[in-house]
Amino acid sequence: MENTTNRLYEGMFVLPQTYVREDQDRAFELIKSALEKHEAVTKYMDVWSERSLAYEINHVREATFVLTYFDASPEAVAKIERTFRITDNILRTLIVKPAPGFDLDTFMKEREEANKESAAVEEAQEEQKEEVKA
Amino acid sequence: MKSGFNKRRRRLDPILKKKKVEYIDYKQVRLLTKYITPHGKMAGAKRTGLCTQNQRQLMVAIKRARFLGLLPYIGTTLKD
Repeated sequence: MENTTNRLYEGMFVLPQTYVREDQDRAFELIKSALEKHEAVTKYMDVWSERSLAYEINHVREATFVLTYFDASPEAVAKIERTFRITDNILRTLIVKPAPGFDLDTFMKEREEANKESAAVEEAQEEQKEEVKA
Repeated sequence: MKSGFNKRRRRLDPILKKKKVEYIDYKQVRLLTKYITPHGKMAGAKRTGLCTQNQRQLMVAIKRARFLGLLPYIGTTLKD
């Protein structure tokens, strides 16, 4: 089992929005620690979306989706899924192979740029607001 | 007159406007909502006009999205 090579997986975790908003680091740590327990190396983790669910899950309507990319052995995936199924505050877990042609580095770069852009837009908006006030 | 089987005339996909796309992912929720009926049922290949590969990817994507609560199993589609 030790000899199996690790490969990249995409994990999507659904958490209650209230739980993540209370303390985002705690929510990320919850996922990260569970992944580490099965010797998975987290490469990327961020909030993908905050939206209301199409149907209620465990009496929760508003959820936060956390997208992760991690390296793990194929055998560990089933174990990871089992761990998350019995973890509180994790509503759903989906671990899949990334889309064909997916490259983590390009993805990270794109995300960084997108974050920068949105930050710039926010700044510009704030500046505008201040100008209006002045 | 030429005989033989009647080729089914494919309607070009109205949404993607392309014969084929590289991959249909479960995260493209807005795209997926266009391929389900108001009751949440998946559209068949005849309606989507997608190629077999894309239609399969669409099927998997919708099922994954349903599991995550991004799309409904039954009932109205969510406003994005």
